Amino acid sequence: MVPTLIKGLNVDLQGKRILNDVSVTFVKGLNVILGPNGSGKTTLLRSVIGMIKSQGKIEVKGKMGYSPAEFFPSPMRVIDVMMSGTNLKRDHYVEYLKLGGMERYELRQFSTLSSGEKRMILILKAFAEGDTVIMDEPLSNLDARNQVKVMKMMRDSDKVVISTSHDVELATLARQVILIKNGRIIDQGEPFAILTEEKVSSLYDVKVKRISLGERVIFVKELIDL
Amino acid sequence: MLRYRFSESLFVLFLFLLEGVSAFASLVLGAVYIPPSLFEVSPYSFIIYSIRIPTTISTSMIGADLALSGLVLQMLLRNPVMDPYVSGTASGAGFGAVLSYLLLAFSFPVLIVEEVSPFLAFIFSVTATLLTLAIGKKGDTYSLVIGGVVISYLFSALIIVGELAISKVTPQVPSLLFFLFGEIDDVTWTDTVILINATLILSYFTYALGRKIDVLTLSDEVSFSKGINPRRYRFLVIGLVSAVVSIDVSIGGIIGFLGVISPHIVRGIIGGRSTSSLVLPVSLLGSSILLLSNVISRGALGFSIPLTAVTSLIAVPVITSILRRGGSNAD
Repeated sequence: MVPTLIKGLNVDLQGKRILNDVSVTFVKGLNVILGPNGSGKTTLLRSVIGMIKSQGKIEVKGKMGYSPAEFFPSPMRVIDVMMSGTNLKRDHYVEYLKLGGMERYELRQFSTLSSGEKRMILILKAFAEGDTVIMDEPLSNLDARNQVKVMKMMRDSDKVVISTSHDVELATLARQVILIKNGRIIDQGEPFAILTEEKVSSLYDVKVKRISLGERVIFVKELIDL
Repeated sequence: MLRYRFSESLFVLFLFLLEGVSAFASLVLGAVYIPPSLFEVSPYSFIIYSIRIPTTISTSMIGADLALSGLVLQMLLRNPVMDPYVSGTASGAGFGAVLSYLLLAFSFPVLIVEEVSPFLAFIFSVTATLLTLAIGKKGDTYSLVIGGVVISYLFSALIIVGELAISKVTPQVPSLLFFLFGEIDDVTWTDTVILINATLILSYFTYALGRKIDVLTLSDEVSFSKGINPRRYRFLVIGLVSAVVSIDVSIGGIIGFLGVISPHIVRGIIGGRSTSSLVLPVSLLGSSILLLSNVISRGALGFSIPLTAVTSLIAVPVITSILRRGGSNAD
């Protein structure tokens, strides 16, 4: 099977260049795309699924799963939402609901779930369906407990997991981190090489401090006047 | 949190019973009351076999079509109060049908007019739907509804103008104003067979495309990731719905709100489900409601009432409850 990769990708929207000569080979495991608001992260994901016209080469390994940043609260049960758009069997999805500790929600109305619970369902759906699992801001609206579940699931997955995030903490768990700014890739590589104080500070144009906590690192923003 | 719901199969069984009762009422009640003991007795047998049976079948097919069309439009447009009446689709079809009768004024033979009628109805129903979408697509639940209202008024006005023009130029053509309010009476066996096919096609596609329609309600991005182009599917399905509604309107006129009422009641009783699993209950309920409405419309109360007047009365509490619950959350 081909690896999931993009090569020489250019995207123009309404006469404006949004992505400029973007090339990435996504590795097995977690790939996190970091970048400021409006840097082109969502556009990159939408190009991969063919929603946005682009020039360049895109290859996707196997089937895709996608967890969107925004979605509509469909008037259906959770299991119907999960099974939508595919031919996979119900049991397969129930397994993934169990994996996320959400099996008691199977027959609940999707629209009655909280926003974090709805997002959990879509994340589990994406994992259930894809060899390449694409996620746009998967951690938003999730409480700490669900964040831990999802972060572990993403870190330990042997699928190609591609995720945008504003959470540098998620990026520290990745196999590969991609920094994107103004539609260009400014750096990519393993987290310890990419997630330095300088690089993260210049990515967001703020000052961040990197603090080591045993095996983990965290980044703290300095609250300077901007 | 889990409210008690009726089991799906029990509810479908009830709907089959309701359908049977409604169909029976539609057979025996009408301008004359014909009890089953007289079905084989001339001249009642003629009324039963040539008029009431085809009319009853046609009514239940139109009811199923409109209810299913409502279900599909609501899912695709992510709007709980959409149906072919609200979206302007039916008014457009009505205008197309009336327009074809204007051809009589230019001495086209009736046979040709009858052939052309469904096509004109189809063209204008698609046009009306797309106009509504163009007006309402940027906004919320309400802007699509308002778009539909505007377009319905436009085509209703044009129907009246067309009708007046026809009655002036060719006074021998009977009034076509029934297009505005709906009327299912004296349907021929030929039309009945066409309607049966239309209903079968619409239900088949709704069932077969069910899981695709489901994902289209959820997210355009997820749809794309499954190789489903939302734009293409919306056009395909809107085209199909418009075609079926055109046939319905050509035969029964513009009948309002069935597509809002049926899916809403079904979801209220068994809960929201995937599109495929709603096909049977929604079409059964739509067909029963229209059969009973038509019994009232054709004079069960001693005088006839336009169909849409009856269905509107049923729709008011339903639509009020949907909108009061806050727009886009359909359940």
